[in-house]
Amino acid sequence: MKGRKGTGGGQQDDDTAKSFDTLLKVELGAGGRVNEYWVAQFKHTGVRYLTMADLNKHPDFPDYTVLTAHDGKRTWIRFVAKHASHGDGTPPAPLPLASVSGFLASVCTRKFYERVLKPTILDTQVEYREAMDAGRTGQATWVRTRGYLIIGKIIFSVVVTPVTAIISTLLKLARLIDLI
Amino acid sequence: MGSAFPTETELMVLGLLRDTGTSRGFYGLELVRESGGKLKRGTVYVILSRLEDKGFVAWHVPDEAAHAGLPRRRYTLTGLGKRVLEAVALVRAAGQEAFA
Repeated sequence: MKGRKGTGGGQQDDDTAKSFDTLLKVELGAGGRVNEYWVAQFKHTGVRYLTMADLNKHPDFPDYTVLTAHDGKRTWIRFVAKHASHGDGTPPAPLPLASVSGFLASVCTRKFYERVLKPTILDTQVEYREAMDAGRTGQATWVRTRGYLIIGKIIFSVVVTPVTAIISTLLKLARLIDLI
Repeated sequence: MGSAFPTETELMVLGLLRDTGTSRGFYGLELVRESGGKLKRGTVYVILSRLEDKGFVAWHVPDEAAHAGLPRRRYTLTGLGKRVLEAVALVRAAGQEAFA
């Protein structure tokens, strides 16, 4: 496997990586469109999820910037394409909600994000991509706007509604106590 | 903590998964479309999450979706979900007979 392993910001050949039982997480894409892949070859377990040959087939791969980080357990490699496009030379617009998904993941519980927000974001992104691929930019804009509205509605219903319910209950209790 | 018994909306989702779903399952968005407006995009995953907690549905990420970089989940009915639907149908049938 021709791969790279980054440690603490540097990069080394895969021969070095092979000596480590390390899982590499690769993010490949451009702008907001960053896809995640697992590139793993464990010397001891022999697990391999994806080869660099597979990555080379990716249209965004040829021209990329490599960013690495190491959290003490895993090495994260992020390939960010410099000039990814849909084929007409124009860089693709970031997928809707891509910019806020990281923020939402950090402020919401993991369960809520993984089960509710992330699927909703992915649905929006799929619809957006389908609309863009079909050349329906107007619909794509609507899908993007609607995506933000839906996420806002979900957060409102999950955060605000229970709070108002609690306040309402407290007010009822206060009235009850007042009556007693 | 909510009841383990499915609500009407949850039963509708289970019914959709049973009646129109294939072994490959449904994306959440497909459920919204199949429901004919009864399910909303903003609530379908909240409902599916509750059903997952109750053990009535399971999900997987199909290979093609993961390859496209947008790993959407496909939801399928579990054995428990099927049995619950059957039990509800039996109870309702018995209720209708009793009041007929």
